[in-house]
Amino acid sequence: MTTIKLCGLTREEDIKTANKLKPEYIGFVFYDKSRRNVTKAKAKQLKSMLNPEIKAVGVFVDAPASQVEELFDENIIDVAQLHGNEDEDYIKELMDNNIPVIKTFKANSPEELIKAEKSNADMIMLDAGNGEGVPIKDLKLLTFIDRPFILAGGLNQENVASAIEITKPFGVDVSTGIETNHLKDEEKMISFVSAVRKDGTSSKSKGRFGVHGGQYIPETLMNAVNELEEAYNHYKDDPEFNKELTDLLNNYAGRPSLLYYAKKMTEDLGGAKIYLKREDLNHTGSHKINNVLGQALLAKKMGKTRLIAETGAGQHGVATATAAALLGMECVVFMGKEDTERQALNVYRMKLLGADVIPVTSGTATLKDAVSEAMREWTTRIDDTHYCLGSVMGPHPFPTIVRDFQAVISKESRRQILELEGRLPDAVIACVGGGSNAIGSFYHYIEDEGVQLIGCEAAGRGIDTFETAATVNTGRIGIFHGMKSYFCQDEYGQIAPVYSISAGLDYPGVGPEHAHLHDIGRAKYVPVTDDEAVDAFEYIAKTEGIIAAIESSHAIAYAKKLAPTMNKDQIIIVTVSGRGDKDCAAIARYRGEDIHE
Amino acid sequence: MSKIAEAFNNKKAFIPFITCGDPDLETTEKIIVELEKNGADLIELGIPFSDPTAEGPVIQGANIRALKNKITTDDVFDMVKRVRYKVQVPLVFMTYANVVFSYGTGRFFEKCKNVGIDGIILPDVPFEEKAEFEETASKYDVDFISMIAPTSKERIDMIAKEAKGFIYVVSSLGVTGARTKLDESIANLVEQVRKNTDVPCAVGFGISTPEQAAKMADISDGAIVGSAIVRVIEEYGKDAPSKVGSFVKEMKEAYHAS
Repeated sequence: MTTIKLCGLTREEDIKTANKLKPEYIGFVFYDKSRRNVTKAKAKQLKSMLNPEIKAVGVFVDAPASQVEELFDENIIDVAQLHGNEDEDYIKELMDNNIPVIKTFKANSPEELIKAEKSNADMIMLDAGNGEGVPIKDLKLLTFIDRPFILAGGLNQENVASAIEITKPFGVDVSTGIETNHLKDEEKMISFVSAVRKDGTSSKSKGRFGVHGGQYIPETLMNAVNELEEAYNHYKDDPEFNKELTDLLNNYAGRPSLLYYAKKMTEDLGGAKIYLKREDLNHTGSHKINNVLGQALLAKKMGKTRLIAETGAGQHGVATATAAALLGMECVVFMGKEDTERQALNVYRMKLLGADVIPVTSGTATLKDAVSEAMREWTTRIDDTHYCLGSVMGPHPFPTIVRDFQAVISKESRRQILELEGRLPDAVIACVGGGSNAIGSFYHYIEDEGVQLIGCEAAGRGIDTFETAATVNTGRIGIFHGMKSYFCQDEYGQIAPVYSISAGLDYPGVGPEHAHLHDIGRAKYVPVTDDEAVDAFEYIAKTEGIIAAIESSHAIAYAKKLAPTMNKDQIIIVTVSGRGDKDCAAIARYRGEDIHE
Repeated sequence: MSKIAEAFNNKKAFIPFITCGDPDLETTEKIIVELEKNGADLIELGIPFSDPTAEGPVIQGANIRALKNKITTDDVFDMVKRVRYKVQVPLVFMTYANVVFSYGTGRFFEKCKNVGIDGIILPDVPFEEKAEFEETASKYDVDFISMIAPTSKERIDMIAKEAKGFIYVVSSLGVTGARTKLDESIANLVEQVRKNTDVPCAVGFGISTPEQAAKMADISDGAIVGSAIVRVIEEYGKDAPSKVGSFVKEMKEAYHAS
C-alpha cells in the first residue's frame, strides 16, 4: 500500500482531520520563509493532539542540526525531512542521533536522480520545485530509480492515482493539493486519501463504494455470495421476476406508501413544509418488507427453501418471517437476547408467523451479535439456505441488492412530490443504523444536487459519551461484517459496544455506500440523542396522530430542528420508516411508567 | 526454504492453535514453550478480536477471556518477542482483518518481522481481498496463508496457484470446533490443490482426537488442532501448560503410529 504524507499542517482542525484519515505521516514546516511555518510551541501543541500512530515529520531548509535534534528529542517530530542543500555529513549527523531522515531531491534531471539514488538518507523524496506544488515534468524518468522513494510535487486528488500507477512510489506527499485559499481543506484531504487508498485495494475486489465495501468474508461463503450476485444480475432485469415482485409490493405490502403533508407539524414549527413518507403504513409496519419480498423471491428462484435473518428491533425479523410464511419457506431469526427482551412483542409475532427465534447471548447480545451469529449459521448450512440480510451492509452484493429493493421509497417520493408540489424537495431526512431506509430514501435524489440528504444517527446518551451508536460521527474506517466502512471501535480495532434506546439503530457500523456519500460530502450524517428521539416520538403522536417507530423518531427529531431554520416555501421529506407500537412499553419505561404488554 | 516450508520438510506437520492472553500472556508464553518441546511443528497464535465470526463457542470464549484481561495487539507482539528467545518453531498469527487494518497494515507486518512471525491467517480475507494485505505482508517476509473450503470448488485452482507458506484446508462447513465425524471428501480437496502447487496443505476445523489428527495428516501434509487444545486451557487455566504439553505429545505419537 502506498504511504501518505499530508504536509504543512498548521491548525488544530488539520490534525483532527488527519487523525480521522490516518495517513502514515503528517508534516510540520519549520522554515520561516514559508507561509506554512509553525513555531516550536505550536508544533508541540499540535503533536500532543496527533494520533500516536501517525508519525510527525519536521520539514527543514538548511536549519542548524541542533534545531532538528532539539525537536526530535522533545518528541515534537519523529522524522526529519531536509529540503535545502544539506550534505551527506549533515544527514549522517542526524542519523547518528537515531533521527530517521528523508532527503528531498529535485527530479528534473538524470544527474539529480543519480545523486538521490546514492544518498545515505533513510528515505528520499522526489519533488519538482521547493514545495510550491509544481508537478514533476516527466514522471517516467522516475521509473529508473532503483530505491523506494516518496513522490511529491503538484499531486492532488485528480492526478495522484495515475502518478502512483506510473511511478510506483513508496509513498506520496501532498500539501498545496489539499488546500483552498492557502488553508488545508478537509474535503480535499479526504478525497486525496481516498484516491491513494483506492490504488491499494485489489482490482479483483468487488462491490466498492469509493474505498468502502468489498467482500471480507470466509472462503466458505465466497461461492454463496457469487451465486447470489449472479442470480441477482439475472433476475433484476427479468420482466417476469419484476412483475411478481411489483405484484407482491402493491397487492400484499400495500405500496405505494403515502407521501403525507404534515400540516399541523409544519404550522407548529413555522418553517419548511414537511412531508412524511409513510413506510410505517406498509404491511408488517416498516420499510423492511420492501427488501425482504425482493430477497425472498430471489432466494426462491435460486431454489433455496430456508431463510435466515438477523434482527435488531424485530422489524426485519417480522418481515422475513412474513415473507417465509407467504412463500412457504422455513425461517430462522437471530436476535440479540437483550433485544428479545426490549422487543418481546415482535418475538411473539415472529413465532406466530412460524419462525424460530434464536436469542443470541454472545458479545453484547444485540444486533451486531445477531449478524455475527447469522453469518456463522450461514457458513454451516449454505445449500438450502439464503441469508436474508436486513440492511445495506455486509459483503457485496448485499449492499447493492438491499439498496435496489429499498430504492422504491425515493422512486415513489420523487414522483409524488413532483405531482404534489411540482418541484423537488430541499432536504430528505431519514434515520441511519445500517442505513437501508435512508439509502432507499436518498437513492433517486443522489444526482439532484439541490436536494440535501441527511442521515440521522443514534447518538444514544450523546456523542461525547461511550454510550452512543453514531458511527459516522464517532467511528473510524475499519473492516467488519464483510465490509470496509466506518465502525465504532477502539484503537486496536476491537468493535465497541454501542448503545441506543433504539434496538434497530444499535449497531456499530454503517453501510458502505453511506460511508462513501459521507466521504464525498453528498450526504451529511447528524447525531440525535435518546432524549431528542423520545421527545420527537411523543411530539409526532400528539401533533399528527402518528405513532412512529423510535428509529424513525430520530429523523423526526432532526426535522424539528431543521424546519424552523428554513423558509416557508422550502420542502422537507422525512421518512417514517416504521410504526411505533412495538416501542410503547420501552418509551413508557423511559418516562418512568411501567406498563405491561 | 522459508521457515514455514521447513515445518513440513519430510514430515507430517502438527499445528496447534491457541489464543494469546487466554488465560494470560505469561501462561501463553509457557504453553508455546511446551508446544515446541512436545513436537509442535508450527504454532498458530490467535490475536484476540471482539467479534470472531469464523469461530465456534470454544474459541469465542478464549477471545472473550483474553479481552477481559485487556490484552492488546501490542501486548501480543511483546509476548512473541520474549518467547522468540526461547523457541525456534515457526509462528503464524491468526486474527481478523480489522485487527491488522486498524493497527496500520504496514506497521503491523513490520512488527511481525521484527518479533519473528512467519505467516498470517485472516479468515475474513478471501482471495479477492487479499492483495490489500498480502503485498505488504510479503514486503516483510510474512507469508499470507490462503484457505480452501469444501465449498471452494472451481476456486481451488486460482487460490492454490497463488498460495504461499501452506494452504489451510477447511475440513467442513461452519465454524471452528470439535466434530465427531469429518467429511470424507477432504482427500479430493487436497488432490485438487496438489494439481496446482507444491505448497503443503494442512487440514483444520473440527479435529479433536489423536486418531482424527493422524488421519487428516495422513491424507494431507499436516493437521491443525484448535478448539480441543483451547478447551484444555479453559479447564486448567494457569496450570494448562503441562496439560497441553501431554495432549500434544499424545497427538504426535498417534502420527508415528499411523
